[in-house]
Amino acid sequence: MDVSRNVEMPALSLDAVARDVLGEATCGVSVGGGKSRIHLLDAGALNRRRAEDILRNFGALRLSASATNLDQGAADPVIKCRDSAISGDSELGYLVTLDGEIYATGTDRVAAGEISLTLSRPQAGDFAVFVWRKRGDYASAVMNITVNEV
Amino acid sequence: MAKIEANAEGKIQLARKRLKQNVKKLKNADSLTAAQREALQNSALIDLHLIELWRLDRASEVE
Repeated sequence: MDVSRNVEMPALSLDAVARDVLGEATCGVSVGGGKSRIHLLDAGALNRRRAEDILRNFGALRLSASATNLDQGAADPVIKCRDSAISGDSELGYLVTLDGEIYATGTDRVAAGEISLTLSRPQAGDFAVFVWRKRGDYASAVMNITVNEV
Repeated sequence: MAKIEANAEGKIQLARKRLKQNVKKLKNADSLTAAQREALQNSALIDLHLIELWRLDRASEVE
């Protein structure tokens, strides 16, 4: 069974949150033709609701960054999520891509209602930092950061 | 307060980018000294090996 939304989302990001929330081997995603889809192997009511939440709340978190366009060698950019939605969460997941390929994944602990991710000594390229809630409404957001070659 | 650094896949992505850049530089070899050319060739060889090892690792995981 597929759950879909009429907007194209970054496939790697959608895949990361869907697999984290729904389970590694129980779902897949596809993006194209103006739609994003989560394919469910187990289409029970709980999984359907979770998949709908992931798609509905994609992009709903508020993120900020100390810089979104910087030269290589400048101060490391810091990405923060300080959103009331995460105040009761213990941790958030993150996925970082560089030029569209996976660069880093992990989780970060919520402290004082926020998480803070520092992109350490980034090389030149286009980074996308995607962050998602691992509970509740599974809201997520992406922040794009360009590092210019000098 | 996570510090984001390249994981195993990220390091391969960096190696791919570096390899592309070094090959581009080697195409303009006339403007390079012999030592610079050798350094770029060595770096490219190391990156090629890294990428190939990663590909073999992935292939063995699939099997």
